[in-house]
Amino acid sequence: MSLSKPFPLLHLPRVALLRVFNCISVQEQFYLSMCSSKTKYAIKFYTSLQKFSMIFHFTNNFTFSLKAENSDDDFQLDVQTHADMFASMWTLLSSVDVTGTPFEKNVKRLLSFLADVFNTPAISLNFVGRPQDFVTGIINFIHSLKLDIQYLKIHSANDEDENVTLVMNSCRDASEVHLRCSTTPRFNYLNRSLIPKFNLDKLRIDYAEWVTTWHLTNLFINCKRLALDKCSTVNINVNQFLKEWVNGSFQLKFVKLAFLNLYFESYLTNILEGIPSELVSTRRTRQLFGQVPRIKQQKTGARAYVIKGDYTIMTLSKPFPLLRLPRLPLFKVFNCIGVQEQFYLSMCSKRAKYAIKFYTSRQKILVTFHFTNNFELSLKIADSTFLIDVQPIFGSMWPFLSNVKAISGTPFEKKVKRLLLFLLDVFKTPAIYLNFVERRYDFVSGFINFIHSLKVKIQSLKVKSKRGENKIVEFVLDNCRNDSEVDLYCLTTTKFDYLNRSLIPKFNLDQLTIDYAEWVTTWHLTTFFINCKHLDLYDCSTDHIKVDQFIIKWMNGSSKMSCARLSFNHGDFSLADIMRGIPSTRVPPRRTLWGLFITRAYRIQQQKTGREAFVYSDWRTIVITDSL
Amino acid sequence: MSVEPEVPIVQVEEVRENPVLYKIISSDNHVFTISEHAVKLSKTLWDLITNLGLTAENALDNPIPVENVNGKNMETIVQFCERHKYDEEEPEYTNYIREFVLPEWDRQLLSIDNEELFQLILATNYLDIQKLMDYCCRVIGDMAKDKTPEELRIIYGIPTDAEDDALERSASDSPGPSG
Repeated sequence: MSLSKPFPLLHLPRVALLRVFNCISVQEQFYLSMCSSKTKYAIKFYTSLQKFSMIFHFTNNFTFSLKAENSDDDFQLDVQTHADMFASMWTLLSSVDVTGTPFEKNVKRLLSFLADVFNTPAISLNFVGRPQDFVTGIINFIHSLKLDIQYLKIHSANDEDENVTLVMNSCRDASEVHLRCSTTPRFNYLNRSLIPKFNLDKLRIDYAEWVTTWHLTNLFINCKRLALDKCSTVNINVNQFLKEWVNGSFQLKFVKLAFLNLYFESYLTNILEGIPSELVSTRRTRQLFGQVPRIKQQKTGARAYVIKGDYTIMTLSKPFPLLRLPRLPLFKVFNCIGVQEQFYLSMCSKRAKYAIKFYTSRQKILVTFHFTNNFELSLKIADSTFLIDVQPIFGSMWPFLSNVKAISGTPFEKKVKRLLLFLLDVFKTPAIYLNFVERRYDFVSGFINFIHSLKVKIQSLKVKSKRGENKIVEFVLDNCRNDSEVDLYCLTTTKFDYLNRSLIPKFNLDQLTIDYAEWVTTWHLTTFFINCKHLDLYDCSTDHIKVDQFIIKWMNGSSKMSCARLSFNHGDFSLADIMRGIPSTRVPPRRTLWGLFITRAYRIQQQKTGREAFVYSDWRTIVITDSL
Repeated sequence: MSVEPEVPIVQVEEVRENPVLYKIISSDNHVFTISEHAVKLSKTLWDLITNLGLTAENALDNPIPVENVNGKNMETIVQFCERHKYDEEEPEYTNYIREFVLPEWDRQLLSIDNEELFQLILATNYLDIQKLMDYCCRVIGDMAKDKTPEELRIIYGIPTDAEDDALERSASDSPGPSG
């Protein structure tokens, strides 16, 4: 709570106010817009000059992200974990009249609020395992607001006839649609209106058994890119489709049709029957494609190549022979593509991997393994981060990793370990970040041990668990003393103590954070944690920790600790009592670097090194820091 | 599926100061005329001109043969250089090439068949034209955007390891020139 007079932001002249908004991030703009109607309209006026995009992820959680276009300014919020913050928002928006379950109502209200404030942003939706009614409700609501859906992905293990119909009917103008859901055998989507025309940049259907020649030639032929999986040779006559393309002036640039059952060699001859084509050699890909037939669109002169790939693939463009480029242009191309594409390319073949490996040897890449409900991987380079859902890669592209030497563990563990080895190889020992959420001890310890066995340092380790698995905390404290940053959000049982442990190796962490630190005693602080540079402990017990002893230990030693925050579960302590008898000087009241106003602080000094630190309290927290 | 580019023909600009013109002959004997400002964008050509001691007086009488670049690519290159000859010098894009936006005119110019684009890059690399190289590579890089590994393999024609191995085996098994 600040004691200084607030800054009257909204009283600023318009030019100054807009300049202030210019200086703050989209996230802060969003927070400001939630404060009141006035701030909302001020932000709304400002954002009318910009274009935004927002993504709603309906997975196990509900997160949304907002991004200013043509800039790196974006943020992502998990609505459930920010429940307190959003509680006031739901109240503020409760007057907006919408239908649905309470959760659906909140989503719709948030959506209409964001659309209002952020200049009708481009909307992307990602539904994973959500009920049909919910998906339908949200899509219909967006259309009722006359908003366009830019990207839509529906991923479901159930048959979703209704949603597929809805998407086919109403999302024909979206930029990209990905349907990863099956339909019942009776689903057909026939005799539908041809208007509005399909105008998608990319349409991907993973369960396309229901797609027929009629769909291809009347609806999908107007998309730019088309990827259909599990097509049926009974329903699709590719020859007819190609004839339609040759005789028309369609913008379709790339088509992939993967069939469930096909003897392709004989089929390829038949599909070109009656279509003028010429055989064209492909260089360096001769083994892959051989001579490929090229066809031509009569009206536009556009040419297309019919190619069979690993799977049954028909593509309408000749490949670009990337790996035949000289080194300089090749590196320039790698410069132009994101780290995600670099990663994907490295998976294509050994040659591609070595090209990427040679290129990335000059860069520093951060890799984060997210072991939450899913398994995701994020790659970060400079200021760009890419989050990759690894599960889809597990399926089709996983065999390439089977060449990596066999490693112990469950099939999933083996895959993850192989992936790590691959990343270490390609990205020249990247900085490793690990994030475990509710994962079992065996998995956590197995993976960390594996990393340490490779002599790789973990840059950041976060473990969240409410299972009360003491073994995980013990394991991390025993084995990760020389890593860089450790965050433990793990509940332990009441019998957990971590006493009588080896003092070697010394704790040498840059940052140690422990939530649920009831078990931490003065002994842990003065023997182990005092060697960390930064220490944050939450839910400490005043019964176990004597802060004065810890301070005296710091003063008498040469600890390099620069900041310790000890938050207690009870606030029944007095800083004056703690500091009584400790050589120190009072510091006049002042505002700290991070804006906290403190009335009472003490300056202490390390005898051996002369280093100074300040001690102050903030409600239930005692802070010892070398800078105020 | 590549549509023939609708690129406006760029005439050699005869304006501003009285320009010095040079003649270039492509590998297939097409002759091109290019202004001094434009030819300076190619480090290779400009070094050649300097080393040959060509001047305003004798430049047109001494055409420069460029045996590694065919007429089609040379035409594109000349168009590009004439278009960009008065551009301000830009910082070299090294790690942050992703930041620049490709102008529409250049995007159209480079909307050509993949094989042609590949040959154009080789020519650009040989003639050492920094800006055109950046632009071409940007077009190639954009092909990878939002693609899956499987799609990348197709777009860039990357054979699998097994296919690579088979190719090497067949190359080593095939009889040499002596039979």
